[in-house]
Amino acid sequence: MNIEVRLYAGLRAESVRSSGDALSVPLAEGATLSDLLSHLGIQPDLVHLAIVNGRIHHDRAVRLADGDRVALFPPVGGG
Amino acid sequence: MSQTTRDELSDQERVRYARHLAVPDIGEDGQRRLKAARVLVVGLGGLGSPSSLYLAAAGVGTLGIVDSDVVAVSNLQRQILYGERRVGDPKTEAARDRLRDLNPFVHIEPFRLRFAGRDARRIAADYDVIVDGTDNLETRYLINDIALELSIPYAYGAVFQLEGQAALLCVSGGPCYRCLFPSPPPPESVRPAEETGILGVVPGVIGLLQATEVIRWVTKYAAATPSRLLVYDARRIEFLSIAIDANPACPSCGD
Repeated sequence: MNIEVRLYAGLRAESVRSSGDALSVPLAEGATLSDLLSHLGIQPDLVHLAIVNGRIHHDRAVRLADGDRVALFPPVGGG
Repeated sequence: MSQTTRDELSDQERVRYARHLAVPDIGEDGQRRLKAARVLVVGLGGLGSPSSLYLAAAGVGTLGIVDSDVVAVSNLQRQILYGERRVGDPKTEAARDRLRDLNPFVHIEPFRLRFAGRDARRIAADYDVIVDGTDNLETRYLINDIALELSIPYAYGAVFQLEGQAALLCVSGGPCYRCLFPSPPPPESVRPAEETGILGVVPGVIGLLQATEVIRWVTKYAAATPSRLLVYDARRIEFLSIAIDANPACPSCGD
């Protein structure tokens, strides 16, 4: 299955330089949010906020489905 | 200024706020609510500059402003409260002068200190809503705790390079900061803005979204709509609007 992923703020540099565009990430059926992070090589504690199909998910064990849209945010501290 | 009771509008104020009074959704009632409002802006940097300027211009009756810093040249790329002549001055003094010049009908209450500990709680207790103009996560968690303790809303905003976020949090039944960001990240994972940089217009956009949330709250529109997290990506010139709910497992406001 393929997941559409957008990385925000500092995560962009942590993983692929996606220049703001969505990445299409192939994952095995039944993969979780946690699996997605490890596939992307992103440290789990850097992700503060995970949005799946427009809803916040605090549970990293949530299973993803083909075509899911995921947005990942690190803590944003600037002002 | 002619003497009026607390939220009555004087003739001069009616002239000043004519464009607001002409908007049916604001009008006399909304403008009087703004005049009666007490808003605390914590941090007078990239976010606090636009939010305090527009809130003062809008006629918020009392504006508390908190900052411990002095104006630096490197601030001027985004901190539009200040100009070249105020470099080296305390931000609270420069901001007070600018805001008073913009709208002498607004009562400005400056606090030149770092928003922390008992001072923070004592100051916040006199206000109806807190606007986040801080540049660090520690103060955001503190603002959230205080807003929950006092049952007042928290107008959240934060920026990073070409991106920003804004939301009205801690509204009765709605999410708090910890519902979105349950625990502080490891300190070493957060690089300061001096290192990462900020495109100056981005806190401008986010600060104005925060000011908009405050005006919506004060004029009673915010209560009618569910909370949303707005994410602005200046690289793509795109907004993401995410419906956000209170997290029942939230360590701060959960069951």
